Amino acid sequence: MKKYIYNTITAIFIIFTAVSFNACDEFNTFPINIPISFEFTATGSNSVFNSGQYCLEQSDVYQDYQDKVQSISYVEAAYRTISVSDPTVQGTINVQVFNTVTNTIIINFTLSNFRPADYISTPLILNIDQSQINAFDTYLNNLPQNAKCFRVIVTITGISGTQSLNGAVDVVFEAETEF
Amino acid sequence: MKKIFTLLVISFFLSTPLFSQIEDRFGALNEKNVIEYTQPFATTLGTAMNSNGYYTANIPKLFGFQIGFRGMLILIPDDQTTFTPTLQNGYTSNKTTATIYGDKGSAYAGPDGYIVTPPGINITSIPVVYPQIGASFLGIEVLLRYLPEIPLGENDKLSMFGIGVSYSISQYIPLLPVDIAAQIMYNTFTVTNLIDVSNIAFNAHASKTFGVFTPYFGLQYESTSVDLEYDITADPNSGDPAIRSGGKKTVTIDGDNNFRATLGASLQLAIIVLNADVSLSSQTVLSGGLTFSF
Repeated sequence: MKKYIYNTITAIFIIFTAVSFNACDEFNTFPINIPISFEFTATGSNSVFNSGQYCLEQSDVYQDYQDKVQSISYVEAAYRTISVSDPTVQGTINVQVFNTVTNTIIINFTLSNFRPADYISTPLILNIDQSQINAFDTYLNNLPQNAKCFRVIVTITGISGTQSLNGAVDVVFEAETEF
Repeated sequence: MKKIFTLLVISFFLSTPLFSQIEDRFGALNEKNVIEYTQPFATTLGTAMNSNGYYTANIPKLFGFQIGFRGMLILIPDDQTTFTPTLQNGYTSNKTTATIYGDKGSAYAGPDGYIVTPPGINITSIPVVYPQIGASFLGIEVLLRYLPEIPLGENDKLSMFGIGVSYSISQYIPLLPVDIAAQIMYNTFTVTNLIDVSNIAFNAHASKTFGVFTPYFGLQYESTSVDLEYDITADPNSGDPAIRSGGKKTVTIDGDNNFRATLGASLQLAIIVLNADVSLSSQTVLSGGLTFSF
């Protein structure tokens, strides 16, 4: 009788084990969003901000999951104005992302008739061509986990004299992470 | 006996990887959004703990004893996989993001940088299993669900306790063609330093026995409260000031499970009782049980 009860319990346990592990399939990976920011100050005409080499492991969030990241993909980027000395100033903004291995441009975004004061409350979402996004993803995923690096250059033209602009480019990546 | 207990502990452990993944995600949310994100999970915990309290309304007038397992599969509806987050001034919630059961998180651009929300665990159903013993006498049945403290890592422990009392109403109405009983249940579930769940349920249920086969039906009111303690992971790049500063937070989440209707049947073969039922509530539950009834 004792053996019968034990065998029945074992059978039920195995059934629920199978159900539970089926429900657990989705636990294997999960996507996390990693935001990073590049702040800069532009003064006078033809101001250029160069981030230098930026590597994803400089992000605290990426560091926490670095060993488990299976793939990285670009999600979205936005420009925002932190402060501008003259709200009427207008010019052109150009944002470029460089492959630091070959020093070639992967992403190139330009907006003319750019009024920084318009983007203090509402950021400008950078409308990047899908082919450039795909190229950026491929570039990042071909790099080692601890060396996913790129360079960002922001060029503002049309700011003259003593006018100054403090802005930031924010980027979000999605990292498919192993559980 | 030691082997049976080991099996019980292992079966409950099947759900504990869930808690490890969940804790990581909480840390990316402020207090308002963690409530919205977690509420479906609170509902699941309450739904599970308040399920499968009966399989017949015929409570023995002489002494009876039962021991068994209760298992259930809780189905997560689509509308509980996303929510619209509450964001601070300057940010627009122009898209939904995942709840704990959803898929991907979202990113919201604003004047202080991006606010990102975590992904869910992307599942559509949750299995739960736990043991139960009961004893009955003179038309009163007492149920007990108990797991001793189970270590989860260095400092955390998991424990569960539940008690229920059923009382036969139909024993006072001799010519009634069905058996009717009323039941009250109280359950708690705790993972130290993370979650504290308390549930209460009241139901009335009816059944009729045809030989070895007993269909049953019940209506239940229930309430679930979850105290969640978590650490916000400080991220200086977040647009949310609460996420930038980090810190330990405690929130109380009420489950969305308030009322359910249950329909099921049991089959008694000698001392073994098998039962299965479906409960319609905020989250549909498919339940089953194996009981040794003496």
